[in-house]
Amino acid sequence: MAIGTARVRVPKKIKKGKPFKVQFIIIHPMEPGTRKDKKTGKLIPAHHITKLDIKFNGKLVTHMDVGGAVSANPYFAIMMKTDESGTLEISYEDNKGGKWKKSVEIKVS
Amino acid sequence: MHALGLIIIFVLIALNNYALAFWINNPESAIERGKRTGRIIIFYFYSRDCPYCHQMETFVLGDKDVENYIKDKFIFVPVDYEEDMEFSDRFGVYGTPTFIFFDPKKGRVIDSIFGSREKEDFLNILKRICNKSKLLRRC
Amino acid sequence: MMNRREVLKLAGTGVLLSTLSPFVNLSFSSEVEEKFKKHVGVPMSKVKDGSDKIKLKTPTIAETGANVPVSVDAKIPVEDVDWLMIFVDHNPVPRVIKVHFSPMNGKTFFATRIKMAKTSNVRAIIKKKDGSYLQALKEVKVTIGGCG
Repeated sequence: MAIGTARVRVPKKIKKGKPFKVQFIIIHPMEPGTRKDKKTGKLIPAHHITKLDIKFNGKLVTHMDVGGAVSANPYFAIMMKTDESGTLEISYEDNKGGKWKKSVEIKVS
Repeated sequence: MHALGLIIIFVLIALNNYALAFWINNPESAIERGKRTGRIIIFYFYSRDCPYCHQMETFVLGDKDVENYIKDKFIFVPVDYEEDMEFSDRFGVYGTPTFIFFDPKKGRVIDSIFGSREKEDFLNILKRICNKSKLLRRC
Repeated sequence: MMNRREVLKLAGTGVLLSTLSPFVNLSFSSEVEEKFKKHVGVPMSKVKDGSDKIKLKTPTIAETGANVPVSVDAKIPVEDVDWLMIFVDHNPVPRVIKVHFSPMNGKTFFATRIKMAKTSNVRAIIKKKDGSYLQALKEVKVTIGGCG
């Protein structure tokens, strides 16, 4: 899978105003910058996600400052609550200029 | 002025190459160099998907103290366990990470370590190997 | 000039300290404290024990230091929280991640997976909007492991 791809999981039934779990995994090597390249013996430069924003209908829900010690292909989970349906957008960037976005629809009942 | 600049460039290139002269991918070349320089070989058997190898590479092998100690006394040879099965079998390697410490002059294995270690433990192992081999003057 | 008795006293203390040093790891605590102050912003002494409010879930023994699951579930209203930080004492860079919540989160909850260099305390540190700090911590053992 391509680097930066995200898979998001939200519950099938979401109740108005009740907190629900949002889980996601992002494909990314999360190189901390301390690992050696086995062929050359030189350090593999740091390559990891640095910032991540979770927005709902354009409003910021959660912001993360991410370091290189988060595991490769990082997993994240937060809770969220909303009274209205809408679009959940996760946007993130890494230290090499990579920028990605993933959106999912949230339907409340 | 030109000549001085060129000399500086050559010295820098030589130093840069020297710095990585302790990290060799070809086992035969490593053994040759080991014989010539009186250094012990560390064969590091790894597999690409082994998280314990990743941990060693991230926190131990890349650490400055460990790197300096290895650079000073050893020759480091990473070996892909899955690709070089024959070479792995020769040393009786059954998993990763495995570190085989090899004396190139005597042509025999000094010791072998299986599994990840934290930095201090690994440095102590290297010091023990250095003392055991009697190849090197100060450990 | 010291007299012989003073020199012997000094030598004796030196021997005593060096035999005790594996048990009294004086250097460790000051290095972690310095890094703590640098990343968190306040000295350790300013952070209160929040273990009754913060449920920090980590394995006691991590299968591998490459992938250690951590989850934080705090009984603190998320509107009162400024940020949550995961801090690993013995990582080269102890600050692993910092999470800024909003009331839309509904709950002060966060989970991820982290890399650990070696056996260490894992801390969940919360800064509240009133300027106070709370933490919960657990020692996670990272053992020798291999793939066979």
